[in-house]
Parts: sequence; structure tokens; C-alpha cells
Amino acid sequence: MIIRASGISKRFGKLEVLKGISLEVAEGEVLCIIGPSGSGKSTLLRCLNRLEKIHDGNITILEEDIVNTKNINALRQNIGMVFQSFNLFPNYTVLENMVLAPLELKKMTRKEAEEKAIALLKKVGLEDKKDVYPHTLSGGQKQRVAIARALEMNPKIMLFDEPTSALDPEMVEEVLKVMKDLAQEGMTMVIVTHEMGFARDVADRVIFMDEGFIVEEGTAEQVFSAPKSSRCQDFLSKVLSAR
Amino acid sequence: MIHYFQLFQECLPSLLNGLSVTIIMAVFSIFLAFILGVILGIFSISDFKVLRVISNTYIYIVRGIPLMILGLFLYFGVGAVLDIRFNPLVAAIIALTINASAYMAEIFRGGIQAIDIGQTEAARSLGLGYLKTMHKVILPQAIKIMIPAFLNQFITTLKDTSILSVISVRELTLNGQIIIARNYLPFEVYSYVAAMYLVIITMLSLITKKVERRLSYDNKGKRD
Repeated sequence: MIIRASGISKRFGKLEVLKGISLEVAEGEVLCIIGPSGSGKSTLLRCLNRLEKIHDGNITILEEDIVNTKNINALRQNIGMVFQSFNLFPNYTVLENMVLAPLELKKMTRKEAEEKAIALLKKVGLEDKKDVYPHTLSGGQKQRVAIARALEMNPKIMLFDEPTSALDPEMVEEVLKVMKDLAQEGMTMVIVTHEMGFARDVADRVIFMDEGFIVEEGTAEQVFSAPKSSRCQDFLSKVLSAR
Repeated sequence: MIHYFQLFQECLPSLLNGLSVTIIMAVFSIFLAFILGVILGIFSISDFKVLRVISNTYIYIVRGIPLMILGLFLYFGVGAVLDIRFNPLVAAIIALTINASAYMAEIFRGGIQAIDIGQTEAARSLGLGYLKTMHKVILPQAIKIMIPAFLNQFITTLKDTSILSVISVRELTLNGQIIIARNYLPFEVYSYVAAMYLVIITMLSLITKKVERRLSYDNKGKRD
């Protein structure tokens, strides 16, 4: 198991957002986390690379205790993260965004880093954008660059925090396609998403969360076609009928 | 009119002396206040509560005290208790530094906090440490936001030097007052003084505009 979390609890002040969550992800597995907003799914994802500190429980990533590790920066290099709001660095070009971390961390020479970056940009269909600044890109292009930037570090795990929620509808597909390709290549992925069709297509396993608990868990087929809990049925009927 | 310019020539040597003291005061206090302000600004965004409390208390106290009182207190009050006679120029620079550093700390803190937290999260999740994140990602963006506010504070501090005439620093304002005490021509003399302030502040603005433009050339990225 490449990710192992057990009994994790997290509070924001008095509000308990995660109430003893346990979760395992195998290498090469694609896990989608769905659920209503406020259910704790983004918080759960952010705990996996310690952007949020947990109050109880433990998390092991790549056999290392991420809660107590002394070397969080080294561990994070193996965990790519893609955010809802892209978070590209506006003061750097696309290429500079991508090579910044590997060069600063002395993981690659400039030549290696740039070659890899250009190959990745080609893969996400944006090699002609390497020298532009992020503000000239559309939302979908920004998110594809953000994915490429995360991949540049050769991560073993990719975390996606609602990667298409801030996009205009016509740009959602181009980002999902990049993610689909990535899944087919065998990347371990944990994806918080509202794209039910995508989750159904790509996920090996789906988790439905509500009010800080994992309410339902199973293959995409099980969760979407035959949800056991009434809360999950209710949620799915709402989001699917809205489409 | 001829009289006006003749009088100006007569006053000029004394006013230039005053101006040079004003500039010395401004340069030293702006420089020292900038360093102190950045340190206090770093304290105020620190994860350590003690440092935040120190910085916030300092800013709270200094912002609540008029510069003139601070100068009088240092020069007369502290001088009397410690039984030393401050050099008025030194006391003035200390007072200005204390005053301006509080505002500069706020400018620094505001600039850093104006950058979206997502920038830090993105950099940290790539594996960059806190210092590298600050240096490579946050500061380059924050500095652009801070610069106009810092420049504004530099100009304010330059003008504030005139307040320290109350502790007998022989700067531009006080030298003007001394001339007026002799010739009873406040209209003329204060107009010279005002014009000289205007000239150096214009010069400072021009320099800073240039710096601002330079930095924005180096840094074409806009915030999205």
C-alpha cells in the first residue's frame, strides 16, 4: 500500500471535519473521492501531503510516516498536488514554473529539467506555450500546466483537489483527458472531484464522504449503480439529475 | 520681486545647511527603519507566537504615539533619566527610525499576506522549503505590491524630519525659523523652505519611479 491512513481526525477550531477516517491506496490505483461540499474530502486530500495537520491518527506515504517525518520536503517531492485554483506562479513563465523546483532542489541539471519540461508540455499539448506567462493562458491551459509542473518532479502519487471545479465547462474535457491518460499510464492518483462521469470512467475505487465520515466505498460500478446508503443515493440522484 | 530673490540668496547658505541635515536625517532613518521594519514584518508573519506578539505590540505602541511626543520624550525625557545629553540629531534619527519602522513593518506584512496562500501551498507541495518558497515565489510577487507603499513611507519620513525641529535639530525647518526670528519675514522664508522640501521630494519621487519601472521590467508576470 502506497498510502495508508488510519483513524485520522481533523478539527478547525471546534468544527470536526474528519472523524476518524481510514483509507488505503495501492500502487497504480485511481481513487476518486466524491461527496457534498463541506463533507471533508478536500481536507482529507490535503492531510495526505501535510498541508493540513491532523489531530489524531496516522498516515504513511511510501512507507514513511508523513505526520512525524523530519523531512517533509523530501517526501512531498514524491507527491504531486494539483489545486482547484491552479496556483501557477505568475512571476515566472510556463517553463520557469516547471523547472523551478527541480533546479532549486538540485534534482536535475537545467538541461535535463528543461528537456523533461518540454516533453511534458508536449504531452499536455502546450509545448508552444513554454515561454508565456500564466496570465495569458486560459483556465484549462493553466490547469494542464499545473499538472505538468507536478509531474516534472517525477512523483509517485498525484493528488487532485477538484481540478476542474474552477473551469469554464468547455475546458473541463481537456483537463480530464490529461488525467485519463495519466491514469492509463499507471499513476497512483487520488482525485477529489464533482465530475461523476469521469469518476465512473477512470476510478478503480470510489469513496463517498459526508460530514467527516466515509459513508460508502467500492468500485465505481458499486457506488454509482447500487449505492447502499441513503445519503449516497440522495447525493447521487441530486448531482446526476442536475446534469 | 527683486527683493524676494535677493533675500533668497541671502538665506540660501543657512537653508542649504539645514537641508543637508534634513537629508542626513532622512537617509539614516529611512535606511535603519527599513531594516528594522522588515525584521518586525518577518516577526509578524512568523509561526512563533512570541515573535508575533513582540511585533504587534511594538507596532501598536508606536503607531499610537505622535512623532513629536516620541522625539520630545527621547531627547528630554530619556535624556534626563539617564542623565545624558543626547546629540539632537542622534535623538531625531532614533525617533524617526522607531516611528517609520512600525509603518514599514505593516507594509511588509501586508505585502506578504496579499499573496494568495495557494502560492505557498503550491510551492511547498513541490517540495520547496519555507525559505526557498519565500525567496523564489512569495517575495518576488510581494515586493511589487510593497514598493509603492514603501516609497510613500519614504516621502512621509522625509517630511516628518521637520517635526524634529522641536528638539533643536538644525534642519531645514528650524534654520528657516531662526532666519525669521531675525528678519520677521515669515512669508518669504517659509516659501523658500517649502520650495526646498518640494524639490527634494520631487527628486526622491523620480528616483523611486525609476526603480519601480526597472523592477516591473524584470518581472513581467501579472497576478491572475
